[in-house]
Amino acid sequence: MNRFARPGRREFLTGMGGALVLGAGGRQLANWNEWSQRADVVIADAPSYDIDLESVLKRGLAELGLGPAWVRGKRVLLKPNLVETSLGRPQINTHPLVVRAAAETFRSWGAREVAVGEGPGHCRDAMLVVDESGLYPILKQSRLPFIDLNQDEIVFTPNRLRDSTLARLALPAAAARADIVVSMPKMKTHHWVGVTLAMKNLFGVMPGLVYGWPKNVLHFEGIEQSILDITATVRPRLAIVDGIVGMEGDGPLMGTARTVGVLVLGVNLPAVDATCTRLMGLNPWRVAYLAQASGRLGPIGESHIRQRGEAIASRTQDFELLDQPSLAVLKT
Amino acid sequence: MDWRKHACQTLKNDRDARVGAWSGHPESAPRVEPTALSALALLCGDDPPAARTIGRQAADWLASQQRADGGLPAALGLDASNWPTALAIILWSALELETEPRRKACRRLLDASRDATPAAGGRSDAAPAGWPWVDGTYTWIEPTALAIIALGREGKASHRRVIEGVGMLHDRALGKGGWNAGNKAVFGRELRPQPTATALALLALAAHGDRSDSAGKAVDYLRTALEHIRSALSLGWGLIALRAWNAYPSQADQWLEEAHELRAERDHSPASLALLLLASSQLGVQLLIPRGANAPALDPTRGPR
Repeated sequence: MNRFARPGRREFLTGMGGALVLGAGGRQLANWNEWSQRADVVIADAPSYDIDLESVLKRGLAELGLGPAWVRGKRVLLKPNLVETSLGRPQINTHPLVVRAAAETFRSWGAREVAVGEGPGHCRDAMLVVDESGLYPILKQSRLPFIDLNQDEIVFTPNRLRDSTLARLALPAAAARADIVVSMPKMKTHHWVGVTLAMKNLFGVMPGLVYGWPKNVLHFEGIEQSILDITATVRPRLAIVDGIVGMEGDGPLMGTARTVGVLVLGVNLPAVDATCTRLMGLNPWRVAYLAQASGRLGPIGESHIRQRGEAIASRTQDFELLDQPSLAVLKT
Repeated sequence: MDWRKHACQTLKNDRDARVGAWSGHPESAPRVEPTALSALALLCGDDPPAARTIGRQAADWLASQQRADGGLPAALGLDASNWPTALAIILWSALELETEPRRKACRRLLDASRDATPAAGGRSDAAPAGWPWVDGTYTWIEPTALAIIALGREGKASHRRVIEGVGMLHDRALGKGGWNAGNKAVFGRELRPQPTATALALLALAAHGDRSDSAGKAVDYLRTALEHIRSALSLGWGLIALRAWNAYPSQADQWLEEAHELRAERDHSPASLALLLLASSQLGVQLLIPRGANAPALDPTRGPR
């Protein structure tokens, strides 16, 4: 008998859950669920990786009311999205210069410690991904420690949400002891769950030693349920989304590059992810895990998110999706 | 000093002498994978008697970690048996320890659940199954390859589970050569090969005496890919596999030295150092897949040694 429930078709089909749950009436109900929730999200103009990204980040964080006092003396763990080797494919992984800009920002604001950590889902050799993503020279130049979260010491902690059947979650010690975990995803489509952004990026926090590669235990528990549980339990304090060059089509690995020219920042992850989804020309209410996060982990309704910086309408792109019925609803 | 001597000394220094085992990183709790690989790597060094003593201690520690079901966990405190069970068997077998833990672990691997990795866009119950990373989940290339290698050493090469596992490797071989983590395509689009999965699959096929077209293309992929890879885990497994297929590149000794140098500045995992050592000598391959274990007549120009 398997320890884990066999994933049903729904677990593999995104959007469909949101579509069933959140038709027009359902959306009104969900909007009502999050009526008291508000979050700020900044869309910062960043046309290329060659600009002064540290200044862009500092201005954006200031818009969120974050500054040196928020970081001083804290341990910061930056969690970029490094999923697979990507020579010549800059749309797969969080760009190293965005990671460096974040690290320098927090260091200059007096962080006690800044480290970069990732537990790649598909490739057990984290250093290979670090090399081929171009991150290693940045780590070396900036003297930034890298922690393979798949192999770190393990700390068990109660599952704060219990959307999955897991009573406790195993976290890498580096994430458990960090005062501030920063989710730093790439803005990408995802062939199973529709979009992969700040919340889905947290799958990479979960240790492969416990959950396997690609964190298959969590797939059995339900991808959407696991995303919610991990977000609620890891409790990242900030999201910085690399939307300078994103990925459309067959994401998160095989898609093509799409330039959006923005960094998206916020302290509430569902709100950040909902904003990014809109920037991708998709409906966040149709992304099952975002719809399920609404009112529980944060707001995703446009009227509940105070948008700062660039306007969504002026920066929205029409991201291509795989030609799958389960994904088509994301455009409606 | 030759990097191999330095590496052996580092491995000895990193060992937790109180328990005779290695951790994932210095000063953390011992684990099965680094312990099995480090003990095997020292057997390739220049002091075999001392290495055998250290190996016996490591073997005893591994036995102490065995769960009632015969499997070993990936880390202390985990209540599940999984993929490192195969590595423990390989060490016990290399040390020729005819022990009950070895037999129990072998039975555990043979009894492990089988669940085919979902094929593109959904499950495929008809697909041949191998072994999972974590019991009760889908099967993937690397744990399947490790199980085939371990069970081959135990004289189980013709067991239906092993035959099915080899079939799974063939089923998941990429058309362009090599293996991804599990599937070969998602929504009809072929995935990219990964060096470690490819290396372990090739090593398993070599252990099984299997020389198919998919192996030949994978060797070609790996030879090309390793030219620019210096991360220890991928390079180590990759070169071990190429040695097993008589395809060890002439520049590989230099690559290993470069990887050793790079590892020293950024990667303190004993397992990665052990893999570099195992890749640096033919004995390393021999320890993992003994010559003649299952080997049929082979093409000396392209095929398992």
